[in-house]
Amino acid sequence: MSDPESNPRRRMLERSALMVGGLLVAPAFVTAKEKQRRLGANASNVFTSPQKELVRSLCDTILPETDTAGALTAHVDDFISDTLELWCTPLERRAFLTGLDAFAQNCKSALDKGFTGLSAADRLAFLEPLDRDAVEARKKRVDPLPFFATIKELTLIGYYTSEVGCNAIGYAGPIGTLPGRDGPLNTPVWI
Amino acid sequence: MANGNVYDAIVIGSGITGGWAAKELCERGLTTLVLEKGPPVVHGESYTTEHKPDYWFAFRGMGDRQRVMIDQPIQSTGGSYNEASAHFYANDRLNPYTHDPDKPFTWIRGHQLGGKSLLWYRQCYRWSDLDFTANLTDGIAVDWPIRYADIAPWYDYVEKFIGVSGRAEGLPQLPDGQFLPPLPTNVAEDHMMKVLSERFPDRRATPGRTAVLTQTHHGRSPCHMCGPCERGCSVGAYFSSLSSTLPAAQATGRLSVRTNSIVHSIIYDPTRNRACGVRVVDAVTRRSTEYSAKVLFVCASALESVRLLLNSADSHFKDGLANSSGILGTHIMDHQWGIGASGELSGLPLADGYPSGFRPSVLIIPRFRNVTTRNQTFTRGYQMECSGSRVGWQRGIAELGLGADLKNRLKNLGPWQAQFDANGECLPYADNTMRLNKSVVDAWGIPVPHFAVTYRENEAKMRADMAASCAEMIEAAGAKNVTLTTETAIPGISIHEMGGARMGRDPHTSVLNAYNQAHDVPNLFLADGACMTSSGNQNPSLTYMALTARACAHAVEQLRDGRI
Repeated sequence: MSDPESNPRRRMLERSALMVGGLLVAPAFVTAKEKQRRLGANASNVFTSPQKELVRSLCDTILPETDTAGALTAHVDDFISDTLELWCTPLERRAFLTGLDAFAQNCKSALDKGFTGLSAADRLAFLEPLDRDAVEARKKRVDPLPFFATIKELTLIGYYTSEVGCNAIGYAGPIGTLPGRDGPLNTPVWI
Repeated sequence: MANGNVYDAIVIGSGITGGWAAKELCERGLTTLVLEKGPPVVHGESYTTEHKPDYWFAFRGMGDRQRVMIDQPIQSTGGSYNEASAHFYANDRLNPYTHDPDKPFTWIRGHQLGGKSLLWYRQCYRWSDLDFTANLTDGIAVDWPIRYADIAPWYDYVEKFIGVSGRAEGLPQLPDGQFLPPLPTNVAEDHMMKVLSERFPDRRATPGRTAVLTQTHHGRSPCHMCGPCERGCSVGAYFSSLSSTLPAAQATGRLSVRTNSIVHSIIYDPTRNRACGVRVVDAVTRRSTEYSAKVLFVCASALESVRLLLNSADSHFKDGLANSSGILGTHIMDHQWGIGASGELSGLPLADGYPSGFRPSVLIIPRFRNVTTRNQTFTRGYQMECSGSRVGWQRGIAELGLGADLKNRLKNLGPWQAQFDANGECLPYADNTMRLNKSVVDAWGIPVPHFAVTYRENEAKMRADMAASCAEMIEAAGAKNVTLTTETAIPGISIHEMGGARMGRDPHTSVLNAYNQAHDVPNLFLADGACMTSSGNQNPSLTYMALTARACAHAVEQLRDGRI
């Protein structure tokens, strides 16, 4: 197989098990208010305004606008909010929100300033040690994963599975299906 | 044409063998009714997720997890289950089953026209006499009533029709077939084929023999390498009932298909000793109807077929139809799966950017244990798969990096990765069983199966050797940062579940004869994985298809001669 995309079992595991630490928790299943069940449609209302601002700043720092569009253009903040509401268990949602608030508090304690108020360079500098911890935690299969590991994962998934992200990377969905690319369907290239 | 509810033949199930039975019986002149328990699927038109990018899906390919946990918690562990193929998997809530508490069992099902032929991994391997004589040689279970010479012409027949791409190797344990050119391999796979053959002369890596076309074949187009086959293939590049056998049956004008038709039981006529028809429950209206025919082919998938015979017990066959031997529901098998190794291959050519093609197959390393010498601590053997791939943006989740650097890095694929997996034979044990659990019924009131299936000492010893082989071969391939996987082997998870109504020569110790024909009821044929007397280590679908075509020819001959 030429790409992990070709093994859906691994892909599904990669996407779900990483996030929940391999532990599936039965959800308190609420369908009373049947919203549009579609991630990224901004159908949810999980965050307070300060939380939403903080999530936007984090996404923008993890995947900023460069020569291609960034996470905010791809509405990754909405994707995260919807994922917490429509995809995660209540336990996972609470853990994320608790982690988000703790992150805000830690930043204020350390720098005497909110994360959203930092310069782009200072934001990166503040996140780098957290990124190292997150990578280590994954290697050691820590469960639950630290907050930053989760938001980084959600940001990457939200971005690279969006139309904006797929176009930015020159690739959409299953390999060879990007509309408009020259001959992708009949000129397979494996290297 | 058939008159009312009366046909020459009834085929129960429309999957990989039901499709073959329909084609063969129709082409041999029989009016044939195919009964499918699931809804209709229209080839092409119903493949609604084909060629769709991630953002087309409501859950971006991650699946509607909250719904999955309720409706498909078991099916979602199946190999090609994902948001884009979930609709081709059964609903666990409506189709429950039970198992011994200490013997977990995974039962993956595809309830729709075409069955699991839409979802299979398309690997096609012949058996050899190493497999057909295995039980006799080892003194295990009963001997197969057939040998390679009996089935070889039917392998030819099936391969010529379905189209199998592959490479002839001249290996006695994995006979060559009627191959179309093999699917092209990538540089990592070329590298692995070379180094493995140098280091292990008895382990021949060869392009997977795959029912995916590399050239136009019977009006079907070659593979355009678009991606995940389980979404359906509207050009018919991979073989399924919908792309091939059902259209061939339809072309005869003798085929009738009834979907949403759950066969509750088979009706047996003791005065004539014949199965005379079936009781069908409409999945939607729940109305009951009976259909009758001169010959019945049960192709419902191994365990559903056994369940149906168990549920067809009557005053004559108290323990299940055609079960005077008491063998029905015993000797359930699957292939052992979950042992593997992955690692990084450096030093291979890398091109920038994403590749635009997808290779719908792997390399295969045919069985090399207990082939020419018997010096292992276990009996039988295993087959390995290996493949080379490059990881996309997903690797960024676990790697260090943030901001513009991360984004720029993920524009390119990661390094080449090697992946090895092993699939091992499981012995047939009398006490690996399924029976009917009459205290639990499915959504249509039919008792569900209860499984008691577990792997034993021979399987455990084989697994240890499978793991050692994966480790030494990935090292020989030159991989670094190797990860070994040894998942718990839950029977059923390979989706190669088989046995339960084995073939044999003696009616006292087997359910079916050499032609998949019930010893007890001569116009009743079971043509799917239920017939298997041992499991081999090859992906089994090709053998099921060849046995089915052979059984159909035999049935029609017997019908013509007035013997059934």
